[in-house]
Amino acid sequence: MLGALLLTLILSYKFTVDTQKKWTLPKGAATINRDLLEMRGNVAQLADVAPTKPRDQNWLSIVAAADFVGVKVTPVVIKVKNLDSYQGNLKSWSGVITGDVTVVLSLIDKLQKELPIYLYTYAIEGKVIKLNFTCVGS
Amino acid sequence: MSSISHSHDRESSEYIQIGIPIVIDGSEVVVVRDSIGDRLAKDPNGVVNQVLPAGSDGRPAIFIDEADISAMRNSYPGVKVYGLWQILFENGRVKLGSEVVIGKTRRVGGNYIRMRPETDFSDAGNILESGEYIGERIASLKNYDLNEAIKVDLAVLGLKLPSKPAYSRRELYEQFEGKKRRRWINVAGICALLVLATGVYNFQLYNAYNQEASIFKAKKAELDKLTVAFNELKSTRIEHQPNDSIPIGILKGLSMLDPGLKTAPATEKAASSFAQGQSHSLITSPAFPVDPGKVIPGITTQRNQLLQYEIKLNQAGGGK
Repeated sequence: MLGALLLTLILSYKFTVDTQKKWTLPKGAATINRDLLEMRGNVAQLADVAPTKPRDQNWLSIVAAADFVGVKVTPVVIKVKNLDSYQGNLKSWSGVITGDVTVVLSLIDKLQKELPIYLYTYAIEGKVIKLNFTCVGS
Repeated sequence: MSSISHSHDRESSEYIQIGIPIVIDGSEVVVVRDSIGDRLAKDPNGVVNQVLPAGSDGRPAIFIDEADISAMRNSYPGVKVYGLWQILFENGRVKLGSEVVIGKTRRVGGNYIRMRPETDFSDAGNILESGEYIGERIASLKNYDLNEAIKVDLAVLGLKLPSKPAYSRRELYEQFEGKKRRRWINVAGICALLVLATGVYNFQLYNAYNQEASIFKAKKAELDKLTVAFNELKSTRIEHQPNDSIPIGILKGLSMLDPGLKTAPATEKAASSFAQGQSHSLITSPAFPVDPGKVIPGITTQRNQLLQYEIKLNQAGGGK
């Protein structure tokens, strides 16, 4: 009799534990509220930003500005994205700008205030800089 | 004669009689012969039931023959059965003191208790056996004159019924089985309750889980939608406008200070870069007279053997 009682107790307990295991919420349930809040914030923040100009137009502006001050822009095709290249979602064109250090740096400084230009590796030797960059846009 | 037959009338019985229903203490009962001492208990053929355990004064236990109980059940169903000596001892009617004690339950004869010969006849521990006699003699004790025996008062008046009537083996077994069955029914009930409680508890947990799961599902769907929207926004908008004006300013200053400035030879791991997390490493002309670190803020310098200054920009590349 006691055995039957004990058995029932044990089986009931086991059943409860087993079903509880089955009824666990998926991963991410604990942080869903925070994640949702954060993502809402992200979207709201980004929605406030005006869309960028088209990439092609930005690229042409850079080439034209470089041409104007007499420095050379050579297009480069990035085959594999890495830490030294643009990784975002926008359309991008990359290139190398070559010329006098002061002229190139001044030009880039000015252009970065208006256009989305990301700068990467560079080499300076004998007053000449070779600077990798990526121009992005929609 | 008429007075004797009157005394044996069952309705108005004043004395205990064996084997017919009589009224004791307001209840109709049947008194049967019972047996005190070892004789019946040791009988290998008889089935006997103890109705009164041995007394603390040494009196042996009292038994009733199963057959007697069955016979009374057949004749008087539903009437409680008690043993003669059981009733008498429980009511304190038996006064020991002679070798034989008799209860005259019939017109000619009755029941007797015999003590062990040549012992203390007042000691209940010395009871040898009980039995029935017919006439004026006990069969096994022919020489004993029953007039010398102590006679037990058999008057019904003032008798109390013993706490436990006699039951046959079968009745005792059925009582035991009945008790067992009731206990099992109770246990089964408790088990059923447990199972029910477990079911209800789990059902509630399941409901709670379902509710939470559906809330989570809705939130997850919203999050996924927002993530898609966010990625779409990211393909047309820039989160942070790139701005490298600080390192550009430093580089401009350095190149004006030293026209022979060059970047440190690029290795696989470390080329000068504006990219996030990368560093800027530059070297001045040999034997450069001025420590650029003293002129331009935001850099760290170190002189090497060629008297060049090795320069590192303190700030890592701008945000990408």
